[in-house]
Amino acid sequence: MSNIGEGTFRTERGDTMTDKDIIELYFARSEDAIRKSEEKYGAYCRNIANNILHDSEDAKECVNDTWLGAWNSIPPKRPDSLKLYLASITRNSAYNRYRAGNADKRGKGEICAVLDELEGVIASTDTEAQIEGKALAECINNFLARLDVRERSIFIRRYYFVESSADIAARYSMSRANVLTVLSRTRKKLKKHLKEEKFTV
Amino acid sequence: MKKEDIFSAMGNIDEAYLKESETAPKLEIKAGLGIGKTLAVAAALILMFGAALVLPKIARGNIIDPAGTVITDELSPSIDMAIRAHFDLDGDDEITTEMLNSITSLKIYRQDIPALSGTEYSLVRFEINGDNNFAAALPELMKPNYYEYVVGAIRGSGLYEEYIREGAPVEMPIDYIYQAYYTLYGGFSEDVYALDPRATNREVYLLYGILADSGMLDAWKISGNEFDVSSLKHFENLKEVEFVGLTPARDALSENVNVTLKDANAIDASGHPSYFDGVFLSPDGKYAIKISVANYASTVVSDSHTDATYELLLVDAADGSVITASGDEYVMEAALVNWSPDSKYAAIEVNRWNSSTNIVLFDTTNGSYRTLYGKSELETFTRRLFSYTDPTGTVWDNVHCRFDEWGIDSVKIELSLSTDIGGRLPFGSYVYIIPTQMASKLEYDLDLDVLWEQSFGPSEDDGIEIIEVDGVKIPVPAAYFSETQTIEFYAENNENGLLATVIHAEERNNNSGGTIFRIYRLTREQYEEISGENPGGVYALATDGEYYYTMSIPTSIEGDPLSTGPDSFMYISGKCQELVRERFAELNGFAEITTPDLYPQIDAISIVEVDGIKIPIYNNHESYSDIGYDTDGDYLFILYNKPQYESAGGGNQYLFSIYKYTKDEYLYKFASDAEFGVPPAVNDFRSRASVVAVDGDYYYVMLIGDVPPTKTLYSEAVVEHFAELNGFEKLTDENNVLEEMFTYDSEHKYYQYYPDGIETDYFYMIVLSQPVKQGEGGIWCVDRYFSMQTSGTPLVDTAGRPTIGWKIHLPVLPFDGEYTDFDAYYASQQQEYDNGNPDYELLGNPASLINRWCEATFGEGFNPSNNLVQVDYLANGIYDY
Repeated sequence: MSNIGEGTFRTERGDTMTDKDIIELYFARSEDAIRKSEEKYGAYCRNIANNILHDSEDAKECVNDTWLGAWNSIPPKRPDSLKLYLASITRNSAYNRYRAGNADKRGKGEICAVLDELEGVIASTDTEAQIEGKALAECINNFLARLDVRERSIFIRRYYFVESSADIAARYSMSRANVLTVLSRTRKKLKKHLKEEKFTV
Repeated sequence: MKKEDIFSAMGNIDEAYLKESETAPKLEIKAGLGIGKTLAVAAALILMFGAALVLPKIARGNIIDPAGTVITDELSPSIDMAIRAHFDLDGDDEITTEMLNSITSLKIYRQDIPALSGTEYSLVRFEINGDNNFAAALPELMKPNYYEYVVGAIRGSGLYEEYIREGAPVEMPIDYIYQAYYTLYGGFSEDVYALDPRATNREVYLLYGILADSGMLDAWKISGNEFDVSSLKHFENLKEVEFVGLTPARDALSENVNVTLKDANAIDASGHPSYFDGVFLSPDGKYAIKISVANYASTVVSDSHTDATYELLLVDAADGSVITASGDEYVMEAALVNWSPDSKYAAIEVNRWNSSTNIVLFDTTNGSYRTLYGKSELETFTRRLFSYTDPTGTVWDNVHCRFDEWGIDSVKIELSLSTDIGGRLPFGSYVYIIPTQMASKLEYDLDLDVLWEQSFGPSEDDGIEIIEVDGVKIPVPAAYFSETQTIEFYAENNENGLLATVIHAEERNNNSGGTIFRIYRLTREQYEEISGENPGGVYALATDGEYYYTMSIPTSIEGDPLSTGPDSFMYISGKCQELVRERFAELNGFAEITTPDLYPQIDAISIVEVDGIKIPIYNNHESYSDIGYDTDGDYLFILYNKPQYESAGGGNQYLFSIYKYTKDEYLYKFASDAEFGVPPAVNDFRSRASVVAVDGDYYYVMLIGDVPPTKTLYSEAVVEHFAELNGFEKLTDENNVLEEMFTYDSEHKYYQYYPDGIETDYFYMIVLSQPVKQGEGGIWCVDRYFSMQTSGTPLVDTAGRPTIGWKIHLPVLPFDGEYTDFDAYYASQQQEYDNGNPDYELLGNPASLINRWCEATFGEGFNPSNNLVQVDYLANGIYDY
């Protein structure tokens, strides 16, 4: 499903299926909704899941969970961007799977490196503090708002989509070292921001 | 807070940002520009330019003399920016003749830059009065008044608008330089005024690469080897000018100026484009670190982390000659180069995929280098392997050495540990400061004892308070003791050997006791006495030869076990106890007690008591803040991770649960009936269950939930300690009713059922017993049946009789998923039989009962004459497979 722009999808029969149309299928409780989602965003979601799980079978199962999650939540939800909505379900589901996964599967894939990097954001003395997820998310949103588009985008590709620095470099036509530098600086800024916001000590 | 918290929180960021990241324009070079396909590659091959870049859009270069007269002659743009950098001038500040007159020496370099297209650019950079103010490696050293120069390049950003509105420079972080080249590349439709001369070298190279390749910077290129020195006529006191790779042109320099000419060879920037990461100039511009691919072999085609090896070169920036070359370094990704502000040292992080991280440290003062190995038995700093074995026996020995920051005469490195599979040490990373002398004294042996102390426990030295009672040191976490006074202690030192009691202050105030632990100093006699009593909740700490030191923890919870969070009793209790276990012996210089059989070792647990039963809870204080338990169900106790359990609505999202079963319940739950199908719920139950203790007629069964990875530790603590804590027996063949041949002690009748006909060899052995009334008038039941565990050669015992495999079935009650009390069930059946209920008549007749049972159990094809034989023995010689 490469080279297909967001929003429009041409089926095998040649008709056009937009995200809006697919969402309507969900609202009509038509199982075609899942089939169309799979056709259009299956590879995309599997890629996200695989970045986190590093296991194509697990990723496949995870994406099946995504369709189920979408089926169960649309309606009532009517996402602005179906693609990102599915991405969000996939990411969270993959991460839950990763956390619940077998020990021997841990440590593989980008997620390990990503978590490793994020470790640097928190102070070594912080590990015991209990964090309220919503407040932290808000704090991170505020932080992201202060970044420029490019910096923010690189940060998001890494820590939301768990893309490798090589992939990010390719996405934005940068060198990998450049990506690493941007990420490193942004992490330092985040560390400072978290400290200012009293999330870390 | 944990790294996972941040990752999880990232899951809730604004969707607009996600969308933005999907559609952010690429930095592709336009075809019309006739250069390489990506900025990354182009930039990577752009090299060596440390001075400012200014397009002529801004008229600058005016010089004002002491009388206030503006000298209209402009300095050349590059010299203008070099001087502004040297004197910390703003873009609107005037350069005065006094400034120019203070300049006595200049060094002017030529740097040649090969590009993908084959074009070679020659650029210029300066050193003024021996000071190179350009391109500091550390952004924080950059001077804010230069940030304005980036502004013009970032049209469309809020800061640009602010700049226009204010009509004045706006300070902004140097990271905007990325935005700058972004916009620059976006088509050159916008005016580009200037670039930050204090940008890092690499940032400048990137920018310059775009500008130069676009043809916009022709004015900045040096034509051949000539440098236009006409601006230098304003430098009245100039005495020395050193040209490297350049010759003065256009004007003659004053006779007073001593001119030195040196050749310069461009630093060879060749390498595999995908992996070549460029050249990193030192802040003073004299040296460069070049990363060169030594061996490029894409051994893992599908993996983006190819097995390239790199060579790190310390290069003389003036002539490109290699001063020092490191050996091959396997690098996961492009390495990060960090120059010290004084240009003496460069620390290069060498990442190794999923393994350790090293730092290669170059010393420019003597050209030496050494590698600070993350993981190497031979080369770790003190030749001692830095590692940590956690209480579960997991070894954390992948050491990651990361550059943190430069200090004064030191480099801060951050050490963190991981397992082979990437787990992170619970107490996080450790920042250590290494004197830079280390770089010049390769044999320097660091005293990293502090680091090794770290491996003993979760707290850093400054995080511990020492309570001293009668000369004995007891460590407690300072965060709770001195800072918040959450914990208090009593020095006791009584005749029972009790030295001190540490309590949770709030729980004490709540009249719930709140004892976290007690420290005892016991004589050998006292120690052995307690050892014999098996008191539980006691941990043998250390001995000084004369006395034995123990820690006792409450065997019934004294705080509120249901409260959670970092201030809760259980959480703090876990931390305190762990600290004492880890540090007590070492702090006091005592020997650890190494004879665990002498004394009960209750390792890393807290105890919760439910209905008189003590439940050991693995003392994982890291996760305790999320833990919850319940006693209000068909279980005796269930322990779970609250968020997971609640979000899953219960189910199997628990750590473990404990059930107390009577013998009958146990039989019902565990007797195998798999051959004839067990309801899925029963199968699931059995797959999770294990018997952790037997107490007379009761069996204690633990079920393990679906919450990894800590479930193992929690459940292991139960397996290990439950029976001992409660004075129960562990499950053995002797106390396991499932291992018995009969449930009912009565006369028995034996049948062999041949499913394929009595001419075959395979049969089941079925045993009938009288469960209620013995002898005449007593009903019969199928007590047990056994199936052979072989379908091959029939087994015979020493008397030649067929024997059976040891596979027990307990089919007496229907498996409907609901337990029925055996005794009550059979008593009611006996009652019906005694009452003459015709439906129960066959229970008094073994032959009728076995026929009916076999028919019901084995179904179609059952024929008593062809399938069933009564024998007068239970096949013995049970075969042990």
